[in-house]
Amino acid sequence: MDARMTGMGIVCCRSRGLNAFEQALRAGWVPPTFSEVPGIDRPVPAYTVPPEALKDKTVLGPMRRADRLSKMAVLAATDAWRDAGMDRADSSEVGLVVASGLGPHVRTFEFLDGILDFGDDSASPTVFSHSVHNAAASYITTSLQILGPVLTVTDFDFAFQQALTAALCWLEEGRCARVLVGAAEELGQVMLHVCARMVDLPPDGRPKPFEFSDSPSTVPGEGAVFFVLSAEESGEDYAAVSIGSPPARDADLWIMDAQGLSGTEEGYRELAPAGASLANYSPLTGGMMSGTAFQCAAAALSLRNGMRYASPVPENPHGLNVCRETKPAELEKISCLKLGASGEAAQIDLRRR
Amino acid sequence: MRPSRTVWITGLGVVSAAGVDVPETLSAFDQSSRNPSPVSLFETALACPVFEVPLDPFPQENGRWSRTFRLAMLAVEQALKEAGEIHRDPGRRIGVCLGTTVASQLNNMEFYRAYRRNANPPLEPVRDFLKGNLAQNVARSLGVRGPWATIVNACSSGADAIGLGLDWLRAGLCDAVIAGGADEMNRVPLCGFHSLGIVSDAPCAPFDLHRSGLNLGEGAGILVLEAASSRPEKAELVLAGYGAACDAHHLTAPHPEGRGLKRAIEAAMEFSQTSYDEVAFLNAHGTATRDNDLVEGRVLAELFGPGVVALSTKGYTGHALGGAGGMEAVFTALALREGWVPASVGFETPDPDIGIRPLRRKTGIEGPAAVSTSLAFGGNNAAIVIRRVA
Repeated sequence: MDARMTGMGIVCCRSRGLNAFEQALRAGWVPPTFSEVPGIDRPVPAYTVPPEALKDKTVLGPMRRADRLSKMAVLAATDAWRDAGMDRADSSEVGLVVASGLGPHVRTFEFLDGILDFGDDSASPTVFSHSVHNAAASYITTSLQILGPVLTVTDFDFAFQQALTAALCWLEEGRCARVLVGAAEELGQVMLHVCARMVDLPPDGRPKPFEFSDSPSTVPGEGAVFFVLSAEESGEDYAAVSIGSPPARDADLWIMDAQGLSGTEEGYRELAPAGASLANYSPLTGGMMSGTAFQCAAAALSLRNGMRYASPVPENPHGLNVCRETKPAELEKISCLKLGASGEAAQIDLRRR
Repeated sequence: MRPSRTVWITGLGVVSAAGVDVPETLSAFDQSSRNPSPVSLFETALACPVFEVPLDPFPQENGRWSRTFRLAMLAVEQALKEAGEIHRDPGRRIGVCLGTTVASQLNNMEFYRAYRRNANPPLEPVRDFLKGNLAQNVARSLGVRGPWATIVNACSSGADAIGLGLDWLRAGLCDAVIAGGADEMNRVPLCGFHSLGIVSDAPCAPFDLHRSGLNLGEGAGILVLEAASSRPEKAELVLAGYGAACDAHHLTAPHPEGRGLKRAIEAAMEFSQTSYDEVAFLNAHGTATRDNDLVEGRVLAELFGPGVVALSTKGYTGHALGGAGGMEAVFTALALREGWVPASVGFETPDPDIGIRPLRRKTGIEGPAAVSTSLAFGGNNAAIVIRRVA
């Protein structure tokens, strides 16, 4: 199964839009912001989406009560939709699959606040309805008038891979002509508190994704990225995308999708093909449970632009061939390899159109 | 849609307030018996009746696993037993595709209360949560090596998980799928649905003129699905079709004309190559809320005719949210296999605005196919078609 990637939209710590993301790929790593978090005695680094990136009265005006997660998702999905040149006439033949590790947990905690502060019979119905995992999907469908099948999938390691698999199955079955598939994650105070106590946060804010250690460091991030997939070829495709079988060895560039959130990353060392060109773009946007989607966005831009973007934090103690310089390159295939907490592996392949 | 691999239902497992296995469930259905009661699993100020599973699925050896996971495993074990323990065959790629709502949320009240109190709570609830992805956990527990996915489509999660499992099989991603849904009784959704004003303080009455809202339930329903070109031994049911469509209308309310539900049913019927007159009965979502039943009943009457044989099993189980679609797919399969459908318990007085009249008594059925529908927050709609093969 494979499909053509015909559109892409992204909201991340570097702002909204493909231009901002492409500039981030060229500019390389920048320090995260540090903030005070309740219960933590040191500033906590994070890559959060700036408020100005979520200002769009035209798109977000009708969803004033929506949470940040939904707003990020709607903006990224809308941009992907526009990037693919789609309009309302297409909406009945479009499906949607949203991946998220933690979903709208900020609203979940807000709802718990309501129960604890006001009692079981006085919590907010608006907050509850936004705490349901598929709230973001609902806002996307309403905003874009998507009438096809819709799924939200959750997993702490492979949510985007599972979403992509579902999207490819739908296209294969003919359930829809195109699928919007993407991922969205949000950072809130409780999760920053949890990260500060459970994850190795680098004091200087610079994670080392190629250390492949048993206690990896990361800086948590948030954002949303969506792709339009089509079974049909068009002249403006970014890439062909498919689910691969690890460890295939024929890629021109390997994205080692270590996000620093799944425990030990030692397994990547064994899976990294000897001498192969490696990259990991998660230090640009922060570690996310469904962060694979951002890696795929980087891969798609690399293929479309004919550029091998430097890995933002290339240091590694293992002598690996990590991309250190951004330069033009004839790339035919990029593979994104992910290991889960229990050693499961998954691979997404993107090929030049 | 193109026809391809036939997907057989070779195992059924179910745990709900109606029974902790298939025989108990059929007995409850046969006698039209139900037993809503006040919440016993946690403290709450809400006095509404709920449908709790009448056993403790928490043997000590299960450690910290969630109640949702344990309910799921009870149903999974039943279904696999009927399917001949296929998970023990290392040569088979077996996927796990499950729907849930509660198991996907970090809503541990004790953790959060402690966080608010001293901002330094024990992190064990978080670690347990992060180890507890429902489908992945079931796959790991069984040692199967196919794809897995946890679907969080609110109240249609279970039905959508079955649909995705069907697509996995037809795409050749695996040889068999353990598919369905599970959810536990939990204070957070109880408070949530109460806040929306759609929880009844009486036993629920799906499609009844005097219906006053839903009762929360819990449970799990699991199908073992196997792709095979020839009929597996003893198999008599086929998962013939699945359709899904979105309302694109509102976060919590169904589209007033049920446009997504209509499209979902039409897609499932087309996918399964089933004609409307082949449908022996409909197992409706039927939550007993004013909005759901009005919209759903009208759509079912429009598509299948006002005289269609229909029921809602939520009168026996309450609304088990992410588990509902799985449980109701199992109930639908059981009815086709047994040749009868139970009374739509709770329904007494027809609502002239709705257009269908659910069954008031146990009824024999004729016809090879049945449809189970699910509607959900977010405007999700799903329909499953199951066929009995002579």
